[in-house]
Amino acid sequence: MSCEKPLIMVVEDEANLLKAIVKKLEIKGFEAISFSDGESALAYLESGKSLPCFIWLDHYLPGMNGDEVLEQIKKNSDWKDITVFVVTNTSTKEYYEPLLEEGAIDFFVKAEVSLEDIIELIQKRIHKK
Amino acid sequence: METTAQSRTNHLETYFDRAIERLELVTSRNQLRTTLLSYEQEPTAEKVATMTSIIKAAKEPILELEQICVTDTNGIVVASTNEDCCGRDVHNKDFFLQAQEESHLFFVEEDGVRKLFAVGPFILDGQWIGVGITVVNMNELNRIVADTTGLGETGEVLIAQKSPEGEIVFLTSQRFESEAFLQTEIQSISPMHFALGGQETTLHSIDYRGKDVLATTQYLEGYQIGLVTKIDISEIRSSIYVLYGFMSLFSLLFIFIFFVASRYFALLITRPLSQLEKAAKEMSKGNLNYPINIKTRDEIDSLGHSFSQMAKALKKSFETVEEKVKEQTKQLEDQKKALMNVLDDVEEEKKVSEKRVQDLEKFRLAVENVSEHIVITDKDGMVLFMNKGAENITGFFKDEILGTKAGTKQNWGGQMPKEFYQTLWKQIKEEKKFFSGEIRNKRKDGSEYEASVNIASILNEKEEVQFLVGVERDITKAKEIDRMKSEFVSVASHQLRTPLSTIRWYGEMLLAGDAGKLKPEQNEFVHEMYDSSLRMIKLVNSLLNVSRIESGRIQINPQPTELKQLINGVLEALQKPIQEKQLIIIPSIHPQIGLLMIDPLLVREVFANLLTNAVKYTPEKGEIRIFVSQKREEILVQVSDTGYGIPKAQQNRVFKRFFRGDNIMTKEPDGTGLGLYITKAIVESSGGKIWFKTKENEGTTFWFTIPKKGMEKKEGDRTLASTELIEEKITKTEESKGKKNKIVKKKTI
Repeated sequence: MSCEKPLIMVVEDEANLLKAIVKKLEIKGFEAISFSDGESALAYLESGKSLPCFIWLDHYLPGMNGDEVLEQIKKNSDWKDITVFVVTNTSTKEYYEPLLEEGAIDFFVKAEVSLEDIIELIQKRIHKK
Repeated sequence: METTAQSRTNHLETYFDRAIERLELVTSRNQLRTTLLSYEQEPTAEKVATMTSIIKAAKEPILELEQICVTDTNGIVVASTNEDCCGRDVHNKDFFLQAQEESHLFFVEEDGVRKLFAVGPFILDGQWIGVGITVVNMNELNRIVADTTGLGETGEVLIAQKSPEGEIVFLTSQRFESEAFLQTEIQSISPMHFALGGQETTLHSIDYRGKDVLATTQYLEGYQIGLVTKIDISEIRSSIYVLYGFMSLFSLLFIFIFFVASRYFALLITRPLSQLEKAAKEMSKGNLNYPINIKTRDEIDSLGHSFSQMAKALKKSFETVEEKVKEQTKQLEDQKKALMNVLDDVEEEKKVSEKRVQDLEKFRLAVENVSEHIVITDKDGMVLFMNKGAENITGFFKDEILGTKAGTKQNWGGQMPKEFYQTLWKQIKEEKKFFSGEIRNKRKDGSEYEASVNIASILNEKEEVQFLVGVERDITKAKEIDRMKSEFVSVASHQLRTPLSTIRWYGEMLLAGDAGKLKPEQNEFVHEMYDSSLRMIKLVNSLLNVSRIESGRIQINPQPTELKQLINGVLEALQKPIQEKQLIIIPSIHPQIGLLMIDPLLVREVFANLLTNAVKYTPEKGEIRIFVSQKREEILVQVSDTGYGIPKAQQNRVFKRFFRGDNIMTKEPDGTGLGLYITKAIVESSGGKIWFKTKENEGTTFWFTIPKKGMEKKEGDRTLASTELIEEKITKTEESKGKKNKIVKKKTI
């Protein structure tokens, strides 16, 4: 999977936050696709359209929550290499370890990071890839 | 003579009583009575034989009894020990008529032989069924009457009865007239008249021989028998004359001897006595040197000697007596004073005792009536006392609890793990230390409750545990409220995070010019909003930490950690304000402190809070020292600054939630007042201690300890939320104050 022109999937149920992160990503030159729930995000992945290089996955989602979405992604051989950041506002690092074990690359509390931090992290990952 | 008369009377009375008793032994025989009754209804020879054998058996052992007869109600003898008598009719005899009601004695002459009859009724079920007759020979009676012991040559005893006609009938022979038995008295006035008239007296009279006699009269009322004891006057008189002669002679002789002897002894005694008298007179005049010269070698000699000794002793004692009197008077006065003091003390002691009793009663009432559960046990935990509070909280009554072991399944206890009770008992009984903790108990109705428990060991002079006093408070409700409060804070805080993220990110984009370049003033305003959002995020995280710590859900996850590296990390995060304020930081870490098994997240929070405070509240060019040393069992950390200090009046509130010093509120408005509260909670939950020393405008030093063996692992479902990572990422540079926005990256922690 190529991340030359990175496509970033943002799954976030808070519309305000979704709008902000997408806007920032676009400003920084990324292509972003946004979803407000896990089911529609998985549906996109299954649609055969171009796969994202990164997924911004909210932990707390209506319906299927972040854990389950992450599990589905990591189960699928086509998707398992996609870098997933799990973000939340309801918990702290107590969820850190189980999520990393499931394959998340990092874990954030949204309020504790700036958009700049996120962009920086994504850029670092692209360099690695 | 009166004594002799009384003695005879007693003898006779006993004799007559015995005769009646013997008769009544026969008439009271049950078998005899029933047989007699049955015989009267239906006479048979067999019944006669039965009665005869009974009376024969009764007569057998008594020699004096000559005969026993039984008559029917018609006065016919139906059974007799003497078969000749059977069939005789006695119904017209005096004794038969009288014997129908009660037992009597009768004197009878039959065929020239004197006999004494005792006759009495057979009564069965209140019905008269016949008469019993015992015939007694007179030998014993004659012997008693004929006995003239003590009555001289002429004395005698006479006994008589009155006949129905009122004549006096003698019952025995007389000393001088053997045929007197049952003869009547001829004399109109004789001593026997008095006797039978019931008068007991002694009188001078003329007897049947015409002699002058002195007579004593007695009367046996029960038997209506008179008794006269008499003696001739001539015999009495002759005895008295002889006695007079002897007595006169002896008296004269005695008086003569007495006179001679007393004269002699008087002389022997009076001579030395007069000498002593004279000496005594001399001494009384004060002449204690008067010589006493008695040589009689007897008690008077000793007395004289003692007199001389006494004179000497008196002389000596007179010399010292005045001195002694003075001394003793003084002693008495001293004793009196001492006594008064003692009395005062006693009075005082009494007042104190009364006060103590009152205090004790007040104390008892207080203990009894406070709402807390109070129990006093012996050294092994057996309950000796339990107050009303304990009854109310546990639901058990005193009667059920006294004597049981406190805090076991016998009452409210046994709900905690075994180890908890082991630790508790070890602490109070072996280490004799105060125990304080929280416990889960069970009420009588089975419901569980949480209690805060404090147990003190009461020791005796030998430092042995004598009693244990346990005070518990039901904190179930308080705990529940606390849980609800923590949960509320937690939920509220999480809810705040999303809008705060929104403000933060949009602020960030505005400042970054993502929505177009801001005018300087716009930039400044947005910056204020952005900073405030960061402060609020910090506050929310602090509140979350407090709620997590208070709920006890924070996990402790010890990992080998190097303190030096940890401290440097914190200092690095604080580099910007340190440089801005040109603070001097002096860290000093003992080189031998290696890796410690501590939870780096928690210890970092402690250092971050203490160092952030030190940096924040120390003016420019101040100094901050960090010393880490090691003691025997613990690591001691000291963080001191030359900052604003804490006002004295507020020092006791330093570790309370939301505390902020009055003196720094204006200087540094940014602060949650939660840092030191969280710090203390972390240090103490890790087995350490924290304390401080401060002086306003001179600086503050905090010390805290970490056990050298490290922290103990604790499971929990929460970690701390970060409160330091968002130190101003976007700062107001020179440009931002009006020229250009610049985002300065924070170094990674």
